[in-house]
Amino acid sequence: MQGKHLQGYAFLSPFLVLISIFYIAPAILTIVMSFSNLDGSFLWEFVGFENYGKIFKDPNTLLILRNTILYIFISMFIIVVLDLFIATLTTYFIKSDGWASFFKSIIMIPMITPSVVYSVLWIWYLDASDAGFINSVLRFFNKDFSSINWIAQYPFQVIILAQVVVSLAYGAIIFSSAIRSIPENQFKAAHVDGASEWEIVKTIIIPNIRPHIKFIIMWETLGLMTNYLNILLITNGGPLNRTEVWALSAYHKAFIDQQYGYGAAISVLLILVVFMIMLLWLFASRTRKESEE
Amino acid sequence: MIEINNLRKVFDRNVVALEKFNLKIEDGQFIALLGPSGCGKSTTLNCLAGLLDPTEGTILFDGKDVTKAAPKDRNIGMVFQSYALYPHLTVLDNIAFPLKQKGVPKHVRYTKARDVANKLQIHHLLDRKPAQLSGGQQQRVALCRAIVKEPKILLLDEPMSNLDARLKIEIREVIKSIQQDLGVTAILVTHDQEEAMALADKIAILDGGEIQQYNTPDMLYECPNNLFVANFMGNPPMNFMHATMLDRTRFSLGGTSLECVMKLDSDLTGKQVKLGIRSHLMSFVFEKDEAHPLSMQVRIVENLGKDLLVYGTVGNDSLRVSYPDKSRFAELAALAKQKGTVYLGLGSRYNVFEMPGGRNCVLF
Amino acid sequence: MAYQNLTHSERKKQNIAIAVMFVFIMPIVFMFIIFFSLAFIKDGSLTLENFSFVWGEMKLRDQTTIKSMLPALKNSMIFTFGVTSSEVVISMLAGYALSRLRFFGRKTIQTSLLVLRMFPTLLLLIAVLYVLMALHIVNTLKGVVLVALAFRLPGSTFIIKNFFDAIPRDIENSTLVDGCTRFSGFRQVIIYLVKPGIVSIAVFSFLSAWSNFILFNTLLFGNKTPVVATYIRALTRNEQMIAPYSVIAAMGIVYMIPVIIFFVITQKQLMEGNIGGGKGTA
Repeated sequence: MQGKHLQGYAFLSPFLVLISIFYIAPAILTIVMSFSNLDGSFLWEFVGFENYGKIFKDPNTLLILRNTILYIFISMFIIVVLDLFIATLTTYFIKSDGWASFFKSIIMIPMITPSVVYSVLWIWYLDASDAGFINSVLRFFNKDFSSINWIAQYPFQVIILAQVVVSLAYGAIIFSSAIRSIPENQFKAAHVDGASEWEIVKTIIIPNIRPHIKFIIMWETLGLMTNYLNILLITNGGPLNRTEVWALSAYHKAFIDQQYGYGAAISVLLILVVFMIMLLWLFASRTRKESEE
Repeated sequence: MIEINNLRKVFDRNVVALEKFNLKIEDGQFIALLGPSGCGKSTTLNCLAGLLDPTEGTILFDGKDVTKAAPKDRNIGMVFQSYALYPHLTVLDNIAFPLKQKGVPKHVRYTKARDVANKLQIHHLLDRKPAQLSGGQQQRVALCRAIVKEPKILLLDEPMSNLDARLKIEIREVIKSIQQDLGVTAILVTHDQEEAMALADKIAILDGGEIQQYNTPDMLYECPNNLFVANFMGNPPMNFMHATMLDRTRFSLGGTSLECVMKLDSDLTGKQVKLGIRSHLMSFVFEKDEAHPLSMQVRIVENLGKDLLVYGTVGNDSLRVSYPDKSRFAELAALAKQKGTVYLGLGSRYNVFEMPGGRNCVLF
Repeated sequence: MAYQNLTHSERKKQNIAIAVMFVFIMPIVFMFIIFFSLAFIKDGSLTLENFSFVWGEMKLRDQTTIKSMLPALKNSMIFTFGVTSSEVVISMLAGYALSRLRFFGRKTIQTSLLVLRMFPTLLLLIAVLYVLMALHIVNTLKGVVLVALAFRLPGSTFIIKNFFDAIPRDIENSTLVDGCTRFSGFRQVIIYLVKPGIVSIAVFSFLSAWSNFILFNTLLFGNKTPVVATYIRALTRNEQMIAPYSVIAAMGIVYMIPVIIFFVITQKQLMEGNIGGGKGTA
């Protein structure tokens, strides 16, 4: 019996070692750090809740919070709606596998594009000068058109757009598989009953994939909360914090201002929120599983 | 010879699957482990195979203790309920697999595999993959794989439960002839008593992890140890009637006092019993007479082709009685419609089960 | 579904849907095509001169010189190979153990897998930096490999574990009866049954490792170990493009060639919703 236990641990050891040192330890360390004023000098000194107090006193905090919440909700909403749209079109209306695969592949391209390249794409697309693509196109239609610095003037819209385009593929494919596994009979029955396409979407497709929708909502929300990469690369939180979101501010404070302790505190607050959402989700899916059994 | 001594298996959360399990199996015999779901038959088989470790007890193969031995060291072949063929290998490679593990060179093991495939008439399927075969064909491949290494013991875990009725009979014949040809000791796990009776030399009936009776099919049929065995064996199932023993030779049934023609091993005066009688060992007549004193209300009549089966009730007990004269079918059907009565005789051979407990008290 | 088998109204709806989808994806497609076609144009004519950074130094119009991409390419390849191969092996071992072996604490680790794979790893970089410093491997490629692995392993292990769970007990038992040890049975049979899972993990690991930027950005300083991501980023600070778009487009193409190749090869797997791996950004 003991031998069997050892065998298990032997298989797991590389996994456990790596996770403990580079994942779990930093997680705990982040919390510890948040109670210190660790900075570029790398001198530890515990200051209790001072960092958290600083967060509340910072005048930018409210703006950052507002940005974060708006960004998350608007993006998440658009992503889910578009994902359903794409999935329904490519799985239900388009019966041909060839076309469906084609469109899904195209949708995936932004997702597999490395972020450093993807961000340049948008910067180029929206370049402020006359040579910028959108500006050129618009001037083509209206000779008096004066070039707009899109990223500086509409930064919020730009980051939402950029993030949405990249995020579409994941949900679209998951919804697509889900729609594919809806029993054909339900559709047949609805057609016989004379339901319109919109009704079919509303009463068959959506109810059947409700668990998947919930999953994507949760997954995308978590991602939007914590993934600041595209924002960093396109607007870097600017101009003037107009697109600074919570996760990005933690990064800035830590790696640009070298205030590691303060950055850790900002991270911890975010981690708490994320944790709550995850626990809610685990709880919800466990009770759902139990009721299904 | 296989010896299972005091086998006990407890699973997580104190689920006792086997308790004080003892069994001796002679070489070359075909044994069936028979019983309903959860009776412990698969558990026993898995312990024999080495796929499960018993909590207590020992297993001996020809006197050697194999209780802790790995499956590969036990010289066994096994056929699983799901066949468990390796999907990425061809049929030929599937069959030859056990020989490959023994280090048998390629041409030798392929030759042996082909021989075995020939024997089971699947030689034309050797290049296919399992997914391209029907259920019955997969079954045969599984059998080939199990016997190709000429094991001493062949274990069969409900191999026919996924087949339709006709295939079942076909495969039954194949298994029986293979076992006889090779002379392997075969142990079959099944819940189908017909299958067990057709194939096995001896049957061990299990319930709740304990052996109820271990004997030839005939003995199980004619002389069941208890109510459970009696109820399990035979189709249609045995008839049971509630009665009370008045003294050593008489009992009261359905308001009538009747003589007990079977010799009992103990005094059950005043106790409740159940009489168990086979459908074809009872008879009825249309007019009451001395040999047929019990009145039975007729409910349904079935024409089985070779005889009739009459369903009726005596008091609170439901019975099925065979009736050989098919010409009286219409008469009986009319009687059934009116819920009419016929008169039942208990015959000269039945079982008396002590209640509660269900032990058979008849001295055969 | 074959076109001929559709009813008339279904065909019409399909065609409308196809048209709608085309309109939908057009802006994205144009963006990509036009941008990347810039790579082949210099001074108004078709050329490959924009690609000269690949094999040596490159002089730009304004007299600045760009270093060759080769060292960065080399580092990216080493990094990606290291991460992907280790990730596949380690997650397979861990996934198998969690699925099939019995040991103390198994349930706990299984549950924590769920948490770990959804946890926002990017927020831990501050502390990760500290850990790397404490272990004296900060500012090394090796360090970043270990971190990348740690962040990705819960997700990969979860996927592979599910694949192992799906293997019928009987098949494993069959290998044991047929004469295999656990290991030889694993090698000869089980691995083939989880092959789709392995492919899936390998693909997503590759994509993530090859594209990774943030880890290198925060955990490496100076220019000692450039990778393609940091190399390109150095030339494309938000409002200040150091190199003209045509050159950057060329770099983008070079960067994405392996990605496109992988993508094309593994089309089927990605499409079947095995997308659970997620590219992530870690």
